Amino acid sequence: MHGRVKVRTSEEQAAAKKLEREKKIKKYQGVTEEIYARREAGSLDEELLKLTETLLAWNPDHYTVWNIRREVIVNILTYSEVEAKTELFKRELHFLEMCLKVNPKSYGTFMQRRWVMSNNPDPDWKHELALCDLFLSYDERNFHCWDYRRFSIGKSEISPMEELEFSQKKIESNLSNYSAWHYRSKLLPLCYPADTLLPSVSADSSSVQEDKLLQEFDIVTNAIFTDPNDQSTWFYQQWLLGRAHKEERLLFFMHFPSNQMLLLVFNQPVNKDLLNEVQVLISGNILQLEWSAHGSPPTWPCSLWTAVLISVDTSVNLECRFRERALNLFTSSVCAPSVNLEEIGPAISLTAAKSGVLHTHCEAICELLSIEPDNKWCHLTALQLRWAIDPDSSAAKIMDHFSALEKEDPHRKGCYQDMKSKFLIETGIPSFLKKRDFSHLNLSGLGLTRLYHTHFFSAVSILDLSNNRLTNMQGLSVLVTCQELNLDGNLLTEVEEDILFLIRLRILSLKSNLIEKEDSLLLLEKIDSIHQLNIEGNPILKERDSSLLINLFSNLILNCGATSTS
Amino acid sequence: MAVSINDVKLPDIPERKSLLLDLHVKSLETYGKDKNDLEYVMSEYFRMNGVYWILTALKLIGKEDKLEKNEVLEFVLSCQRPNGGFGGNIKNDPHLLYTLSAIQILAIYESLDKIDSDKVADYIAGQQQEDGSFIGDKWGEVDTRFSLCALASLMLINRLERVNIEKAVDFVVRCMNFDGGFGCVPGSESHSGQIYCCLGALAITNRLYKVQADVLGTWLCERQLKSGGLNGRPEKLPDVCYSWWVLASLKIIGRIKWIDADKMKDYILACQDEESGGIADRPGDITDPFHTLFGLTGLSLLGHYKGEIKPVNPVFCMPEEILEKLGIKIYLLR
Ligand SMILES: [Zn+2]
Repeated sequence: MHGRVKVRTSEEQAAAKKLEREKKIKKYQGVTEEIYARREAGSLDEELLKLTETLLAWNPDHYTVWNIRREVIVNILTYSEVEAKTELFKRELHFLEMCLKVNPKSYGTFMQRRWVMSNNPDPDWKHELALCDLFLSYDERNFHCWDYRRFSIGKSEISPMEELEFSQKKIESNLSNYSAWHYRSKLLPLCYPADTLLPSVSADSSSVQEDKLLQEFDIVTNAIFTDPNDQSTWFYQQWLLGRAHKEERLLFFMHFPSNQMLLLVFNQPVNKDLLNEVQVLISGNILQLEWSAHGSPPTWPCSLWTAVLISVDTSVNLECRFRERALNLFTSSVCAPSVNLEEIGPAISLTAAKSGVLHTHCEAICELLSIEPDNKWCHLTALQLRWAIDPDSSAAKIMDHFSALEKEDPHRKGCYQDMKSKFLIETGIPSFLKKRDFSHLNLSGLGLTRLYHTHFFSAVSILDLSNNRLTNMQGLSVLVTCQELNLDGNLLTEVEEDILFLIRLRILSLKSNLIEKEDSLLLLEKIDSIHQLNIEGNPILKERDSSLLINLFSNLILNCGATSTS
Repeated sequence: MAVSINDVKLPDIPERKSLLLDLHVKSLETYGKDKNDLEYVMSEYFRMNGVYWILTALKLIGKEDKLEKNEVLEFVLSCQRPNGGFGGNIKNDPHLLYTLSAIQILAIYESLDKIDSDKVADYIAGQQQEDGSFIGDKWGEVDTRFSLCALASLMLINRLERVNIEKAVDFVVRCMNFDGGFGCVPGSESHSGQIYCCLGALAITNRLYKVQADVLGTWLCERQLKSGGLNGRPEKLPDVCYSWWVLASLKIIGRIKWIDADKMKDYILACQDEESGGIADRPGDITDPFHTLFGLTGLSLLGHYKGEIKPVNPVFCMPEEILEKLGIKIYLLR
């Protein structure tokens, strides 16, 4: 089904081919039928072994025939002497080698080889490794072969360190051997495990000793200079940089007496178990509270948690304790801790050593960039390093990289625009939190295509997101204290359920979007607090008589261009 | 050492500028009618997959009546083995790969009542291993493809609780790599087909939050080449079937806008055969139902030809309307 070129043939040729094909089909079908018939008759013997050999040489992914072949082998083994058994395994391995030569990417053949080697009383794993080397020399990216090699390594006494050297050799002989870079990322955590393992997925680079990890940047710089167009090294560097693993911290503690609601905001999505570590005290007495996630799909980790707190005097002192830290609410409704942003923010924290290495690496890349100013991978590499090292002071340069990327690689514009949105929001968080005034936040006209980290803004009252390029409401559900939300001039096609979590929303402006469907607007009826809605300049108004909409929203101020009602 | 960029050049054939739907229907309908096609004969052992590809493609364009429903159902049911699993054809052994296709066909025909769901669920649950992985059949091959087959089948017959979900998820997560992608088994390199399977498994078990969407999205959108086509791994040739594995993956993680939809469309259309219909892996190659389906589903995911191709579900690769009827709702990332 793959790579078969359609060729035009003359009628004569076609007729000759047809005849030839018919012969082949007859033979193939004959052998297949006989195999099935013999199996049904229970004749699991040498004769059947030979028949399966004929068919599998032809069609190495015919799983049922492989199954039958295994049944035959199992049967023959039950009555064979030791010598005959050894001979049978030897013959089978030889046959499989022939199959691999015809089709080195057959699932069925590799599966059979695993099975044979697992059952072989006298396995020669060295031979298997040599075989893998041979097939990897034909095709260094054959993933079946890589997997079989790892399987064989697991059975032999070969250390991860030796394998790390093997991967190095593979990379040295061809820098764009992605399979070898991949293997390296799996071996480093085995060879040099980090002392303290943060809870993370196994694929994370934080599981590698930092000094060893930093040495890898030399290999990467080297590789980028040798071939600046290679993507393998870029993906590898991205992994080396790591991700921001922060300890869970409380961002906000809020109380809304009118909603009878207590609210906790964490610096990252957390599981419900973590709420067991939270204590809320009212005038010194611990409250029994039932926390529920706010705005995430059921059972997902969530950064916002709410609990019902009925009829509490607003002048009373509420205290929230979480991991040796306490937040107090007294007469105000929001409390944000004065914490080190490094500790809670979404940016990667760097050790001095890492910062130094990245700096050197970045300088080298920038040098390369001056020679190759249009090279996309150089821009990406420099961007990523600058973002990690010092996003604030290199913001202008980072924005230049984004522009260059959109220009040089327009097909992936969507990706770069989202990344840019993340960068702009991420770098805006520290100043927002430092200000400690959460009355309003202006994020308009930034070209945002996606919202990231919005839980950091969950204490804001007035939010301006107008004149961006948002296509959906993802990320809005955490804006729980928002009373005025301006989404004018975006690319929203519908009102989504995220908006229902904005329980204090009073004014919503959706001017000049692409909202077409009335039923999505009807969702807004479910928000009791809302009393002003602007939907001017949306396609829905072209199709619908605005007076009908006005009737729908009779209890609020609706602005839809032509008329306003109250 | 310079990298050789593997790509193809799109031919300039006027007929291939539009979607040749009528021809595709004809090719899907007649596929296999010529019993003297060697390829067809050699693929008899996975006929169940073939029927699923053809039926799904036809259903997506509202032409499912081109297949004889009763004949198809009879075939599917005749492939069920005493242990509850389905084989690829009447004389073939049960395997998860064909069990999923069989269930998908029955679901599309709204005929799931024709099988004993508990019995099928027994078979599937029996394939789960201690580490949460699934073996394809009794011979013990482990692969994340089989995790998807098992979980998707169970979801369709409403028996998901029959397996250990926590362990199934753990195994899939153990297959995650430095690039955010997934491989066949822990340690294996990322591959778009495998990524699709793992994302599907995580979507069905409602664990998509475990995915590093931006890291993976970057890798996936780098699969698009200058021709507009998508490849399955770095440095490989483009292929229409990746317009399913890659696009469905991007859709599941909410990053489908990260590739160029118009270029993708140009590539898929260029792989059409304007004489005999159907879509091939690359322009000028022989077409087949597998690539015809995945060309059409790719166009559907991107929102092209909305009036002609129905919306396809990115996890199950079936028309959305079927999943709605079954009441299956899956949370995707946005
Ligand atoms: Zn393909």
